[in-house]
Amino acid sequence: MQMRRLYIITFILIVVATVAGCRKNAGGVDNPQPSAYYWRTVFSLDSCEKAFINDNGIKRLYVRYFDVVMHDSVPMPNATLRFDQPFPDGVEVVPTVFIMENCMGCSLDGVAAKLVDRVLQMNETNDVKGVREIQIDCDWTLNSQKKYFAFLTQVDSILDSHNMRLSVTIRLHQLATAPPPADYGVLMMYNTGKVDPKGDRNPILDIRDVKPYLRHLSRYDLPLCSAWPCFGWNLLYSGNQFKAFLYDVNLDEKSVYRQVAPGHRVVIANRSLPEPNSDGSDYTTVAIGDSVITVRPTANQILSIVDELERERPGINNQVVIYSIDNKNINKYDKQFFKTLFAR
Amino acid sequence: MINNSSKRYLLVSVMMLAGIVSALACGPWSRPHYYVFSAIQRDVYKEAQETRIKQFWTDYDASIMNNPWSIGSLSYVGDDFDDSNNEIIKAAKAKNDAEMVAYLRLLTKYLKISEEVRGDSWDYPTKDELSKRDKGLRYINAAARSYGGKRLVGQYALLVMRTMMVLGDHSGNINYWRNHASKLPESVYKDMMKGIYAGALLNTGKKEEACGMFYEMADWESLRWITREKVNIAGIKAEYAANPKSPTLICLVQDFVNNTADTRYYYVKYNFDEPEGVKANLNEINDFVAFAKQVVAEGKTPVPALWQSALGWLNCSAGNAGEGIAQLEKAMKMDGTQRMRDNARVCRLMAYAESEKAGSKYYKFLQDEMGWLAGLSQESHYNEMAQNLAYDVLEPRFAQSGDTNLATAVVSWVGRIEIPVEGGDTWDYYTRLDSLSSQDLVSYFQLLNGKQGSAFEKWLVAGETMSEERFNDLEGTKLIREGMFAKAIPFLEKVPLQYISEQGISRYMANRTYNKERWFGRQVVDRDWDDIQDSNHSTVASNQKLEFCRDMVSLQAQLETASAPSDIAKLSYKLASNYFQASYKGDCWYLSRYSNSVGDTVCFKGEMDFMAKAVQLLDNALAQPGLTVSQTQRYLYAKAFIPFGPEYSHYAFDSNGEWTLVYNKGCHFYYSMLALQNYAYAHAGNLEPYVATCDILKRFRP
Repeated sequence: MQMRRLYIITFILIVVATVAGCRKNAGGVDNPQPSAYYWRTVFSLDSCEKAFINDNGIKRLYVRYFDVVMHDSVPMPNATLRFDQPFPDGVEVVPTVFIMENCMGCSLDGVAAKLVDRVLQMNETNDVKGVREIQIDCDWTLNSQKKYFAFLTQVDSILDSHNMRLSVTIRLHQLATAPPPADYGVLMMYNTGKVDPKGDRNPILDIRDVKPYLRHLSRYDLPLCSAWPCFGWNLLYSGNQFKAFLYDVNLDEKSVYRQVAPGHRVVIANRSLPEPNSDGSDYTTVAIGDSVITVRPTANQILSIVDELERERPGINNQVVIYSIDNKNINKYDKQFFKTLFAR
Repeated sequence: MINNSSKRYLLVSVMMLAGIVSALACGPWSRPHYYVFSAIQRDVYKEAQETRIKQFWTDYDASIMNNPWSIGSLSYVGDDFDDSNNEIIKAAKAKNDAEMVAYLRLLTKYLKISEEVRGDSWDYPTKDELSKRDKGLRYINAAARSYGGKRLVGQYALLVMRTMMVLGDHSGNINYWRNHASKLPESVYKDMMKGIYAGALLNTGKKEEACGMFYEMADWESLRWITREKVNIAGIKAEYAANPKSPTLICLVQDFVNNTADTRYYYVKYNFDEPEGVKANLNEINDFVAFAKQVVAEGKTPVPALWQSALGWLNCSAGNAGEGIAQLEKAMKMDGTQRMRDNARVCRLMAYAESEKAGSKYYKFLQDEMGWLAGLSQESHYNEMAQNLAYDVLEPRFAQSGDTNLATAVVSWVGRIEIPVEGGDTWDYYTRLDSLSSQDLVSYFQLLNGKQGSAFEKWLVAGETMSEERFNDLEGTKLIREGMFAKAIPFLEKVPLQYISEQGISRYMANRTYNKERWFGRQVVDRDWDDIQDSNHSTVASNQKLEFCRDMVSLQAQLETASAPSDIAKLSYKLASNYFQASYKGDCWYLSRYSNSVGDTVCFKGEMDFMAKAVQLLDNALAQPGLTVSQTQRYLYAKAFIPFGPEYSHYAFDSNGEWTLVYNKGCHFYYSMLALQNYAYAHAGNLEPYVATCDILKRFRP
């Protein structure tokens, strides 16, 4: 009798463990790896970035190869990556192509084939080996969904013939609609809010912007992994109106900026800065009375949302991708944060 | 000299715009305030190169410029050289100029490869293609180096450097420039090589030398970019300590002075409540002034004029005009470039114009210096300085002191500098004239005609004219605006119908009448045509302004002599309707102004408030005994329609965070609505349809 009870208990434990184990992997992606995006126009890692890859065991790099933009009413490649360095050994490269949504408004005949051919040619010309996947990034909406999905189907079919898989980025708002035809998606957990007008939310990542979409997660019928921000912005506002991103400024210059609260500075001197402006000009004027809001999600904020996401969709963090490898940003976070993030 | 027809043309077009642009009719509109300090001419580098290249090909064969795209399209000739329709290639072939044809053949080969390297196409190059590109570039490089002639030596040398640039051979370019290209005769091609050389210096870490080259080429944008992190006192001091002769300092000082002076300007002009900022700004100025004095005293700088003018101008900006002007005068005689000395002179003019006491010496100084500045105004910086001087300093100063003619004359002067060709009035001059009272305009017209004015005033308006028809139209309109209808008539009688028909308001005038009450319906004119040049005009059959004045004079006379209450009521009502239609809220706003916008107010000097007058007349009508029910509700309805004063209600957030409607009790509008409502309740069975069905009245629930 006691043996029988022991068998039953053992059986129950096995079932529970199996179910729990299955749930852990149910919503995740195949062959998960610690991963990162590389989103610059020249591929060249400095020693700090190389060390970051080694220290965190990054095994997969999603590298932006080029964008597709409308040029003279035709989708054309733009801002193609220049390869100044070979990719690190032991790291799988996933060429990633960003497509502007307005490209979906025109004829896409042949674009899928051109895109895949170009990626393959870039690999060949630049000796990029072992590429097994391409990722497409597009901020599609209901207006462009049909055309975008048809385009992805074509890309997927071409990739099949090369034994390659297709992944896509998924933005939070896209969770509310049918998933795109791809092998898996990377859920972008950044740029969740708006920079304009000025508000009390962090436009990079704020749980209040994330929450409304979480309910779609468990039923979203596409394997998913998650991508997390490790960057910050300096946002320039005139009143509540967004003026520009300030990338390359010294906010510690006391004669120009007065700190009024953590991450909040008021401009106290006029300066013409060589920073691209949202109006397309090469210079941005910071003017007396403007404010500069520095936003950067903290490690704790990120990790708590990581956990929240995991509760809604177990396994989604089996593969964590950070956005993006750049020594200007990764140095702003504690090393332990990345270890914790990749271990989630 | 700007002739009348061109003035009119612009007048019509600005009026056309004004009809649809909000908040412009009454001015002022936001003008830029340009940086004053300019020791380096900007925007010249690329423009000058393009102009010189165009000139080269024009000199070669004038027909080339029949197709101005010929130069740019050389990049797309590619392998079709022999069959190319490019004007340059055709011209060289037609001249049997074998030397030029050979050069063009090599150039187009280079441009094709360069385009392939630069451009993003769907065909990403294979390794083999990349190798061919490199081979092609090396072939072109070798061929260019082997040129043995003299005539195209600059062009071929440029090809050598261009190919090395694409190949990434920056050291090669540095050597080639130093050993060969720098010794070639001056030409646009040599200047282009200089740019490549400067880029090569930068790419090989020789930032200081690169800055020197960019300075030499007046490539201001590159200089600013390279030095962007040092535009502060610490950066300037460090740069000076490293090399007091560094050309980078010129750029740094210029940027620093402009930033700091601009900050000061805004603090003074807008009175921002930012004591820490004001203090930091003055500290920066004082620090710099002390440092610049030290630099000048040390004598290590080759350009003391730069430092002296910087400290002088910052002193002026900080409110020490007397000391600053003296320092600027000193700078005008110091070593440096002529531009630096000119810059000191411009700064002195700005400071003097603002701070010195008015008088014959002051006006003489202004006349001399403004004449000098106008002579330089073909360059954009000096043109902008004329604008700063006129709009930021002199016009407000003269206007404030009541020198209306002077203020208007200054705007006329700068307008002719801003639009030096026969382009017509600037918006500022147009609005300035529009803002004058009828009396001011008469005085200004006399000045234009030489019948009055000081020597300085006459100098300012020399070349400015105003036609009789324009004067009469403006004067008549101003008098209408001021409610002096009888006085307006003689002026309006002299305005030809053709003149009115050419104005943007003519379409409104031709399609509307002031004889309909506005409260009984809007007279719709399609505003989509407002911004379409030449399509917004209508031929008017009569001058409605004149008819309006005659009617108003007649109605006013009748009202003055009327004794029967019924007549008084009817005449008051008719006059009220006319006044309202001619107000900025009426359909016939064109009777009293040339433009209309949602931001309009009673804003012109001497302007009568037509809406207030209409309300007063309606009160007068309502005060008459024996009014019929129909009359009373009509007058009450009209009164409640007139949006005079604040709105009768507005929405406000309540403590629960909900929007609630709040009535502004105590304003005309509220009482008029209330009076109409009370009347409607009391005479519910006897209401006219326009009252009975009025949805706004139904929604009025005080």
